[in-house]
Amino acid sequence: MKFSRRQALRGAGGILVGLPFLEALAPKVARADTLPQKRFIGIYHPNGVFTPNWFPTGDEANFTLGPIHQALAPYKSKLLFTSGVDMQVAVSGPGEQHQRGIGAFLTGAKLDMGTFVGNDGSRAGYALGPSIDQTLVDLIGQGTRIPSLQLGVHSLLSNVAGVVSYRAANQPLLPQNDPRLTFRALFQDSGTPPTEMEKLRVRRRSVLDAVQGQLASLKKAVSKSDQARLDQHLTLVRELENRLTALPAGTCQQPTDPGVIDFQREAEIPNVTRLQMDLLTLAIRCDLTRVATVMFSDAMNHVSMPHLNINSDIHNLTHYSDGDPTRAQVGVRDTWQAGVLATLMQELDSIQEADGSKALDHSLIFWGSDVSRGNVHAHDDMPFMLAGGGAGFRMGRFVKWTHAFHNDLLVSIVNGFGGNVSTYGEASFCRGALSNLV
Amino acid sequence: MCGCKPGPRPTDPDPVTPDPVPSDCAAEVTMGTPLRLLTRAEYNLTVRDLLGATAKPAKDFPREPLAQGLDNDATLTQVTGSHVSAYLDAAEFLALDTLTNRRAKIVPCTTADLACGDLFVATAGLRAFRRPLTAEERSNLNTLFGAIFATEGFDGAVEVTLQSMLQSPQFLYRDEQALGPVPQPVVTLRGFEIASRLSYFLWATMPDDALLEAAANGALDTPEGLSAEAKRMLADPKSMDGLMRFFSLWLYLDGVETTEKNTQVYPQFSPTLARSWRRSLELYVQDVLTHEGTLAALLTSNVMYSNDSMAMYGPVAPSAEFVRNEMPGDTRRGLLTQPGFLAFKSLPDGSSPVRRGVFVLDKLMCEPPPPPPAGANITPPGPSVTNTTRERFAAHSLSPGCKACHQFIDPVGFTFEHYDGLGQWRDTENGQVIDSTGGVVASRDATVLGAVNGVGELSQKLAASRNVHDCVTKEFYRFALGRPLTQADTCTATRLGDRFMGSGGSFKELMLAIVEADSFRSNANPEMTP
Repeated sequence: MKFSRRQALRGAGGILVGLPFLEALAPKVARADTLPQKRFIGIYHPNGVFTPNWFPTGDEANFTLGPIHQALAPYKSKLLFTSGVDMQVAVSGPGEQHQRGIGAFLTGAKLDMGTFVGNDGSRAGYALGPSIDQTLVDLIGQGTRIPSLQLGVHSLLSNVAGVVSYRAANQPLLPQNDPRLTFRALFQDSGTPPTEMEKLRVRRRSVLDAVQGQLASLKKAVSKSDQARLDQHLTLVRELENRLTALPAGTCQQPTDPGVIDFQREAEIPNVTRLQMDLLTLAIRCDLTRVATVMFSDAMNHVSMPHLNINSDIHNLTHYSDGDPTRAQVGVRDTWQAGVLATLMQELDSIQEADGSKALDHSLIFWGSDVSRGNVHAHDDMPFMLAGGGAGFRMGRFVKWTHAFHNDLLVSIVNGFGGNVSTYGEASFCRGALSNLV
Repeated sequence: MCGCKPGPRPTDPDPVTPDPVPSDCAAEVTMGTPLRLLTRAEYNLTVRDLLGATAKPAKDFPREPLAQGLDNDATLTQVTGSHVSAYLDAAEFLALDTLTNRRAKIVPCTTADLACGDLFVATAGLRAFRRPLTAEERSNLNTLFGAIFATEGFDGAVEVTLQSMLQSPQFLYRDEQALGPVPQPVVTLRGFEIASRLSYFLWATMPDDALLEAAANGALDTPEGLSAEAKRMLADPKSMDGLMRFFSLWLYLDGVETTEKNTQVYPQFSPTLARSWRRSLELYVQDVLTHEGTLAALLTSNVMYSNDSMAMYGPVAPSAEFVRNEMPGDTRRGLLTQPGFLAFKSLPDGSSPVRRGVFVLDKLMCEPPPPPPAGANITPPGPSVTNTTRERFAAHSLSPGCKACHQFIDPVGFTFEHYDGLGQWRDTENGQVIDSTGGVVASRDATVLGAVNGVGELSQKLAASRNVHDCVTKEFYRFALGRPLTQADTCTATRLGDRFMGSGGSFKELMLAIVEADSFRSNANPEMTP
């Protein structure tokens, strides 16, 4: 009976064809007694966009998608484009524009002083506040096996330019770029028989308890700043213990391991993208996680994309003026990215909830960047796009504000998931939740 | 707009050479090194020596933030959730792997009872924590051992206890603080603390039994004793691991391996070739370190390693096995002419006078040009079928904003022009004869100035330069301390440069000099220093 139900759901999804490693997939068994879960997915897209082809034309309710977003046309009624939202918080402070922008994207915070060298030689540390995805973990992510996922596609920098998710000030959550390890994080124990699993839980609890004892012991002998370091380590170990020992096994059967992928090579970008996004949607389908961020390269973005026939450094390409045909290649990248999002939306739209609605109706995708236009490194009129019904915003619109603060958009998103905040990030860039969203 | 002004190069107040050197640098430790998390490379070598494990489990750990290329700056490292779950994975794998395949390596007795368990905790603990366990640490582990012993028996208890050791901060971090219960601003490292610092600097791994023994009996607590131990360790083959850690980072070998080329321009390119570049470069550095062991040799040796994927560079190799070639003529002379280096310091579709020039100014001379201004269009000129790279870059750098810096960068980079974007030798480009004249236009070291023809001649000048020796010294010293250098480190850095230069540029002599410096044997309390 379980098998036939699984098959039925699978048939309804329809689009799993062509995803070979998902063959053994068992979709989430929808629970009739619970409301559909809410989900949040933040998507980072580096160095701004090819502006002329990004923004829709028309007015709020009656608009035409720009060339970049054509792949999203089937979901136009579930999209919300913004105009006039400025990431003002990133205009000044430690670091250069890309560093400040990527740091502020989901945190609304400024950067700490630090020693990470930016593109122009200026220096900065990590962002000085949590990111909204981590705030949303508390609101919608409780009880899942992986409270939040941070994924990357060729986002390989271990510094402020390579991270969008923060647990708290100066606590970056760097993305996982290797699909093999994403797979492992999601399905680590799912093949372990229940009796073995119980033994494993007992062992891990004992081991990690002892580790916590050793952390406490070492703490007595170190400097104050190192005590803080060990305290943070202790918290993480405690969370790991809770995660690995307290939760029931996932409701998904283990799909096939994607195996070793040369994920650091630019030529593998399309392959890694497909695998990471497949694993993300599978994690959502199985309710292993409800909160995720995905980074496509990093804020330095010194990559080419051979699969799009873009053979020079894309960061450099973003520096050309809008009229220069060379810069149009940035639009090719943006269009590809919109296609990746279209597939994600299609996947979410194929996940049926117990009440007959679709996961897409309960998910919010937030697509944004570190700057608006790479050629001037500006933070005004950011290219933000929201998709899905998760935050309760009225979708299918192109909403125009005048110099609204992006921090207020973050406030709106948090509150859209049941939060109750009046500021997010740097309070001086907050006026309260954005008008005309809900 | 740009930090470089036309005309003579604005030289910063020289942090290294000008003032007479004080006779004693002892009181200069003003910045503390925090707890040092094992880097991935150190973790892999440590479990090799601790458990006999060769699987390199740290390959799946999060990568370290780089501080101007170095991966061991303890002020930047930070453990995240990804770290702790990766540590758990690795510990579970390693414990079972060791117990199954190399039981005798960790189990010191055969009685399989609690007494044997306690002995295991003490002996494995000593090596895992790189010092004897405190009573509390030992008791923690014995409690764990006893609990699992009761339910799973002896081997289960060993496995689980080992897992716990491998996730303990005493294993994952190097405690080189010696702060003790009453904090002092500056402390002298003794015994096991200095043993650990010594071992990870010279070997990139944990202390061996002899070093632990020396730590226990106080032999490392005198400068003479420490020096004697360092000499023993430098004579050990494992010192190559320590040296290669530094050079891997300094040359960014990971980047060499993932270099990409446009296959429309370079159809010979493949990921296999990129991996060969890395290996070839690695073997080159090892070769120089094993034979001459000097900076001059690194910059001038005529050795090149190649395999069957590297036939375009001349020597024929029958298989994927690398062959050592001593190259005739002047085509391969030194690090700067190695195929892997040249291909990495190139564009995907051509050579790059800028990348090559900046490497020389930054990594060899420690006189880096400032980065381009934020708004500058820094896209290099595209490939052409009519003129030379040199002509295109020269024209490209004519605008005043670019020229301010490129007048210093490009003449250095142009000396490399006999090598294309794959690092292949060329006499002509697009039918025109290659012009590889150029040279260093401005430097605090006058001996490197002046016109040269080709990077071989440039390398000769660099190899003899005191400034280049000082530059490499500072990077090595920063690597040893695991923290940024400050003005207060100048005195020591100068003395190290004296010894490095005086020894004919011997890297092992430089490492010994660093070990013998007071700052290596000390640490400062971050709370009590500015």
